[in-house]
Amino acid sequence: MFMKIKLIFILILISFTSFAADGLDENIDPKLYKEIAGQLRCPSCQGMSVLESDANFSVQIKDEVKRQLLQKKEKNEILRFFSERYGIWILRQPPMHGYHLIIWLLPVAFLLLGGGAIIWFFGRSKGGKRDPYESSHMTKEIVNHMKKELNKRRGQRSELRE
Amino acid sequence: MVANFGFFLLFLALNLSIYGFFASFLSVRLKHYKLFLSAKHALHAVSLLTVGASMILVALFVLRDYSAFYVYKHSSNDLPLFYTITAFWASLEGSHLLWTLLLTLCGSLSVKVYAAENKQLIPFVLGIYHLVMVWMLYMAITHSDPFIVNLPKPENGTGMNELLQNPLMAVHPPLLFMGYAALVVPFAYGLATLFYGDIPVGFLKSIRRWTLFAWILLTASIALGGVWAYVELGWGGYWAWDPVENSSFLPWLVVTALIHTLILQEKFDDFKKLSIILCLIGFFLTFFGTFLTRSGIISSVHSFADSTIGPNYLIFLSLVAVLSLILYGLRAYIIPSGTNKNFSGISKEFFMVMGLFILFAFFVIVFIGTVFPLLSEVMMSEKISIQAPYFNTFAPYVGFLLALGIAVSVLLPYGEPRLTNIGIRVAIAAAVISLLLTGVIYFQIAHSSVEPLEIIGYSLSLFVLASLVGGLFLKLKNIGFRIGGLFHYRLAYVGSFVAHCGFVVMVIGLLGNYRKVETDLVLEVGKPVVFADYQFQMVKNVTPSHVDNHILYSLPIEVKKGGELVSRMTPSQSLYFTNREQTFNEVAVSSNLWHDIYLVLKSWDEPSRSRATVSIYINPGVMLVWIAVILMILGGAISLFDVHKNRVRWKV
Repeated sequence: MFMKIKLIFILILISFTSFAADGLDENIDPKLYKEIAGQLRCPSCQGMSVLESDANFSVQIKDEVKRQLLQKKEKNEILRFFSERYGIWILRQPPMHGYHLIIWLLPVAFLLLGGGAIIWFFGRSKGGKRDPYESSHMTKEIVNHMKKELNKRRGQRSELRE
Repeated sequence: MVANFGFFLLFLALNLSIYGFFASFLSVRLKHYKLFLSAKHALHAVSLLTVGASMILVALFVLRDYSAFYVYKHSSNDLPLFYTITAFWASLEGSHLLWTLLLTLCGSLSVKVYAAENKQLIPFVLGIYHLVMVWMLYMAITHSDPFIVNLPKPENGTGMNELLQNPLMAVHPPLLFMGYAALVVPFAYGLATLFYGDIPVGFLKSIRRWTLFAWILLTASIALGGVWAYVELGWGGYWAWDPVENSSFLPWLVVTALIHTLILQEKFDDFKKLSIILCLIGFFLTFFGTFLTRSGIISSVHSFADSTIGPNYLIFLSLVAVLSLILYGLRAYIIPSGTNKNFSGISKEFFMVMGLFILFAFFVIVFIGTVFPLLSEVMMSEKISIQAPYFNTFAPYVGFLLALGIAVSVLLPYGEPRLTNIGIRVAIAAAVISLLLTGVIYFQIAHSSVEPLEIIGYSLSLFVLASLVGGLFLKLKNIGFRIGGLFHYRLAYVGSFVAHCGFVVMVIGLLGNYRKVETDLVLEVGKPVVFADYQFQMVKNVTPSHVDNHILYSLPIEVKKGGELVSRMTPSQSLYFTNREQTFNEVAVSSNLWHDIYLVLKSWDEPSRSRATVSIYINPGVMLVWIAVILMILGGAISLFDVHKNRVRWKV
């Protein structure tokens, strides 16, 4: 795998010419830049965006983002540019259309249906209104009596030892 | 040569496991006690043989015997002794052997010492251990063999992966595999109850201990992985939602849910089938995670087909899944449900089940995010990426829902169908206090722009904290404020209190990510640069020094704030003799409770070495995250020692 990454690096070095990218131009909104660069994946790393990476390919992509921002392009335009150039693989999350919607709808559906099922399950029996003593031999009188006795004992607890 | 003995020991162990598997199931069928005993001893023998094989591998490393291919591949003459030993688990074959070893040790221990109430389950449990061992050992002598011979013997090895030469990476894999291995016990018990058709009294206690043990180890190892990524990879973060991290997080979520269903099962003598299915899923996920990360399927579906390990894992995984599901489907109805149907309405149980469900939903989300790119590539032949932004869309809301669930449920007593008066009063007080505190925080940092989610997060975590304290107050009130009693009789409660405090601190720490700032600065000797209130000053030139097996280029920097020295930091880069093409970051971190200063040496002017580029990150809340993990582990450990929950009649 490392060999492959190295190979990619070399290929990129040959096929592109990089230009200096120290700091951001004053005409670029840093928040927008971070938003866009944060949505593009670093092609040679695992799980990182180009923003967090200084691999050569990432620097190329960041420079391209900066250049397009200077041309006053919209966020969506820039993202579309990259996904047309490299495939939607370059986006860190797939666009919200077609079968990709599954990954958004499934969790939401799961949460709603599952949550609903649990509410139904707990509300099914007599709910909050039922008599807590129903299934036991206790009656409210016995319980109150026991509580009173317990409280009496508690008053004397300083004399009791564990 | 010696390597062949290791192979032989594993081969012997495999044969014994095959025997043990048949012997244990036959012993039930034939009601033959001595056959059962022989199967049990077979498991102990398998343990001893695996220990022997592992010791041979360690010896091969220490003696630098490069006639063993694995040793040749993952160590070299200049590797320090410590890393020479930890190179044992530097790659697939060795970590497979380590996992096998820990699995069989957990298995042996849990059939050596078990609760007398469980004795009807033990033959089934034994059989399942043997079955797992058969597969592990089969892999260890075929596709994942650490004892392949490499002749003629080379003079030097090719060296250990430089990223793994770090104390954290030395400890992380054994802890993780120990956690994975411990999950075999709940799995085997879960399946055994299905075979046996009932849940004995001791089931809960045995499972509870092993699950908590596994949870503690998983928590610790995931956190260590995070610390490692933070200090070694140099991108300023500790969690990237990459598939390797996700695959260790998935079992953690399920095991966390399992711990809570076990509590419900204890209180209500119900939710048994839920516990069983979570036991099964938890263990399945440990193999699933290894399959994802080690078969190469993540980087490309095609590299998966080339490896022999991937398809084998896939077969084993489907076997485990299908067999468990069939058994569950056929036998689960026999498991008696509870007689006590006292849960309903807006009660503690309701909020706990909701919380569990949220945990499980989080598991589903992470699972979808990890697996969907594979499915998309296989089924739609379209390569897509699902990375941090996807998970981060859901994570805050999941965290908030969990916080709500915890906040309400810690205030309520079990089995009361409605909010008790005192609970409501405390909850309202807690909400008010947290809102007030949030207001204070908001106006304190209102100068900078604050994300709404961040503020919601703070108020919810304060709400949970206030509820926890309120819950503690109610508990203490119930026992007449004898704090000693809490430690005597309710140690598990104390543990849960500490662990949930850990959750609160974790949320607060994670919210720090909203305030993260970073920049790249060029430093020169004698020219201090200011960033985020701190002044960074290069003390002297980049200096190379020779350490063990690498050259360390270090850049001493003084960090000042308001003229006062905050810290001296030396971000560095290492150049290893075994890998001349790449340098590795040794980041410098200076932490206080609220934020870290995190420096990465990027590059320097070569002949003069007096000018260097440094990445500077100010990371708020990182220390809180580590503290949170320590609290969680501490809480788990405290609960583990609750003797009243563990009291069983021991059978040795």
